Amino acid sequence: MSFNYTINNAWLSVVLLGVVLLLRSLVAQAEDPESALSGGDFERTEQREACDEYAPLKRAYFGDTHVHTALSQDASTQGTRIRPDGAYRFAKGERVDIQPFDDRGNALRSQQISRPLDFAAITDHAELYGEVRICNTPELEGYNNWVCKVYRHFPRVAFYMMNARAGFIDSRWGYCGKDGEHCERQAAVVWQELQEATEQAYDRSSACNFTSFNAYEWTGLHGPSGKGNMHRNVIFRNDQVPETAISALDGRRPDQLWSALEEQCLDAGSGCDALVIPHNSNLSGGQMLRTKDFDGDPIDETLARQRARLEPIIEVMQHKGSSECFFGAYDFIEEDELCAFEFLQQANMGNPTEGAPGPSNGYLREGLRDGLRVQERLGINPFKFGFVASTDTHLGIPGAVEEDRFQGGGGNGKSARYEVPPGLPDRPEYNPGGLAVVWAEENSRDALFTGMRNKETYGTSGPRIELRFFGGWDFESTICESSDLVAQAYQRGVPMGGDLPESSDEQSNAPRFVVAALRDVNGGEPLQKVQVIKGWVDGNGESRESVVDVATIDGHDIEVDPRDCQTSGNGPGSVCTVWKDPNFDPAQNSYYYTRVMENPSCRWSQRQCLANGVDCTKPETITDGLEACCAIDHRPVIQERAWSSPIWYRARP
Amino acid sequence: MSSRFFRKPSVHFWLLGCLLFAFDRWYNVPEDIRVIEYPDDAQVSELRQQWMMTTGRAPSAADTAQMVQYELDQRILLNEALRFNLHFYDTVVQQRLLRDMRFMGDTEGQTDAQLLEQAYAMELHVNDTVAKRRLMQAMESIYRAPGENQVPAEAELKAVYDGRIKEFTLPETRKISHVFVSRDRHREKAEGQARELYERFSRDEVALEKARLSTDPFLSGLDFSHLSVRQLSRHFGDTFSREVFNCKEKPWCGPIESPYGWHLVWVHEQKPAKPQTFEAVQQKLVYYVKREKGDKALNDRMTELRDIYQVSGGPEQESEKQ
Repeated sequence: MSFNYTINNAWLSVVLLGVVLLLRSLVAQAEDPESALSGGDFERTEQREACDEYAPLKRAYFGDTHVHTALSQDASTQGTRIRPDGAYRFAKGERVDIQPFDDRGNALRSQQISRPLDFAAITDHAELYGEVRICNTPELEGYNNWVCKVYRHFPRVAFYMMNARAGFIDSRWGYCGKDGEHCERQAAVVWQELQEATEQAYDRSSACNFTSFNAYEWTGLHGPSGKGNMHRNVIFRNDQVPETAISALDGRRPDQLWSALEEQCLDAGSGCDALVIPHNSNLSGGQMLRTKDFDGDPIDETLARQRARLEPIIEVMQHKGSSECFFGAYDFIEEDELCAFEFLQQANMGNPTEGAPGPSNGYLREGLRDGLRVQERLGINPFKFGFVASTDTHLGIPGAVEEDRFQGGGGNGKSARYEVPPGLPDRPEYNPGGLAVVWAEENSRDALFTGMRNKETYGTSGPRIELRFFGGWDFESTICESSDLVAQAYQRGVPMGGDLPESSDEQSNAPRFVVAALRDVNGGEPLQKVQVIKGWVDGNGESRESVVDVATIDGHDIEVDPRDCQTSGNGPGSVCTVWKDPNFDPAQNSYYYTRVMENPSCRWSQRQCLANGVDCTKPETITDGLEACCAIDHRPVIQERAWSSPIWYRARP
Repeated sequence: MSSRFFRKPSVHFWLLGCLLFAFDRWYNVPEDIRVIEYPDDAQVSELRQQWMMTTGRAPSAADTAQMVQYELDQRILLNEALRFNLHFYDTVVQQRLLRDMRFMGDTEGQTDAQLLEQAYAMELHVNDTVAKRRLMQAMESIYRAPGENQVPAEAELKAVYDGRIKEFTLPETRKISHVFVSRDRHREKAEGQARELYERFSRDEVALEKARLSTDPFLSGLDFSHLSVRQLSRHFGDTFSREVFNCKEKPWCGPIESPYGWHLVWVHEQKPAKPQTFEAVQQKLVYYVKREKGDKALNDRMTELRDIYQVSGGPEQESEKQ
């Protein structure tokens, strides 16, 4: 009897506890309804002052997650002297000196962005941290090694030589010592310098003006079935990081990087957390997004899960071109003329002889579809990427994306080590890059990192366009008239990066998408076009897509005159629309993302051509370095844009 | 005193000694004479060219004088480095000289020591620009060290904190809400509508919740919490932000224009600028104190050296010659 009474009391206690907890959550929701509607709060993993600005419905924070300084071999060989602390000062709005430098150490150029960034991550190449430090530090053993002499006296040769070894050969240079110990010790010094600079740059006060992330670039070239660009950036959530930056010299395949990060960070129990952002899939020869593993077999579930866990977002655009989509028709895919934007005619950075790219070179629309194919087979999608953009600057100047003050990106581009490049400051096919944008409640590491992990991110080609994209089943067509549009959208649907919730009525309903955008308030062009792109794989396994103009801006004579870059015509400062998929098939897995375009404006190269007085009708004005201005493939006019992360629909089995 | 007194050799000895002592004190003949050359016309012209390349304008007379003084200071530093024989010990300089020697000719079979000996004999260490710059920098570091190596006391740090309180002060912020009249929706009527709303809200003392019913949708939201003028400008532009911060009216400010249209702004709260705590910025303070002490130590030493060094060939000497 007493035993039963005890058991009954225990159950009663559990029930009462549950009721209490339920009541508490209801009360909390009533007090702060928006927190329940915003997609949730984030875990706080660090000590810092609470931010004065906290927005439950989130704000857009603009940053750069791909920056190289003098610590990267391919930046230092081009004369970059800015170190991480200088790069962070630049990101915060200070003017900095950039190469070339005269014999007295005076810079012949300087640069400053018109608006500070909200966040940045310095991502120097980890593979040669130690080697570069040794070659630059006379007191260190190895400074006089022939490799270092080549590095100092013939930097362009060293650029190819040292990168080729790091990328293709499974051993380090001799001056690195037995088992590379000497270089690894020096690499640890560099990693420590990076962490110190990153900590100094991070605003832990309640102003929350700027967030810096510990980060680096993993520079591998080994794909599943050949050489290809496999570079990716590793971003850490807080100041708990592995003892060393796990580089391609520690493991040449990306899955080895993922495994090492899981072991030394995510699963180490130290509070460490990290994510990985691949870039330049457009230059990967198809290796970056192959559905085979690194032994040439189809991806298995383990690898798919690992990739999905470590790589939530990808660069859709940067200095070395756009990876969004292939420019051209193929199979059942019609040509999308807007895919010509910053489209490079190079297939593979890891193998320059490969020639022009094809549709399966690694473009994201096709990659996302391949993800759906793998999901069909395994139940898990390894290519479920949110989008960001970044610069990949090798001049140490994060966020320098403005077309009207571009001074080159360094790296694969033109070197300004000895002189200001005559004519155009960079190779004409390259561009200033873009910005990563994260929707987050506040400007802190935990909030921004969570936004990235959740894929509530987007990329812009430079302007600070604000972009919202929600998917749901029952958005009213009048939601755009509501002052609480965003709250309603969170309540009734999912934001960019999310999965459409299950609908009880999928057979007779179709998903609806809300797209809302604000033009860049400080210097951008008006908005011109909003599109929704849908991708899916049909019943025969063929790639399909539709590109739909969901908001057209009527009645404006919008143009730019490339002879003087004057823009004319007008356009809205904001756009909001609801679009319902008219061809929805509940049996088909699919993804949707939005692309918002500004009015046309002059590309950086055209601005430079005009500033240098080039007139293509007068050959005498086409001086050294300006030949590209009049080349047939020169694109003088662009439309800056923003790309949201996709929203995925998963068919019920 | 009798004349016999003044004829004593000891008195003569004593008087001569006094004269010599006085002469030494008042004339202050230095033990060693240190001389540097004033930059010649070609060198001054080069300095002016460099200035124009980096600033885009011609230097004024004051700018030129400043550049010349800087050049003289650099020469003093180089001279001091050579006096201390730094060129024999600095590894960067040595590496540079070895590189120069190997570039200049066949050095096979010669050791580094032999090459360096030849380099010093040829005075490469004073002719190579990179080696010279390294020596000047090394000397600067040596003169800074007495200041930089001192551990600042807390009282010192607090004094710097008080002196730089402005720098450590977080800016004032506003917590605002707004009612928006969209230019895209209302076009040329937008401003008029905004003014009508403002007059009605002010006249009828319309509360915020009721006023919101009149707003057009605004993607960034209607509520902004504790933003500085810079942060607010991210959302609305600079002109709007300045007007909000300058607004004295209550409760409604406006209509205030932004690139999107017109806004009636309700200021909930105004937080004054507030300084960060001493503890929060202590590391920065240590950096500032050490840097300032280092600068002072260097400046003090340079001032002493400028008195010690004689400059030959300057414009004053040229005009004297003429």
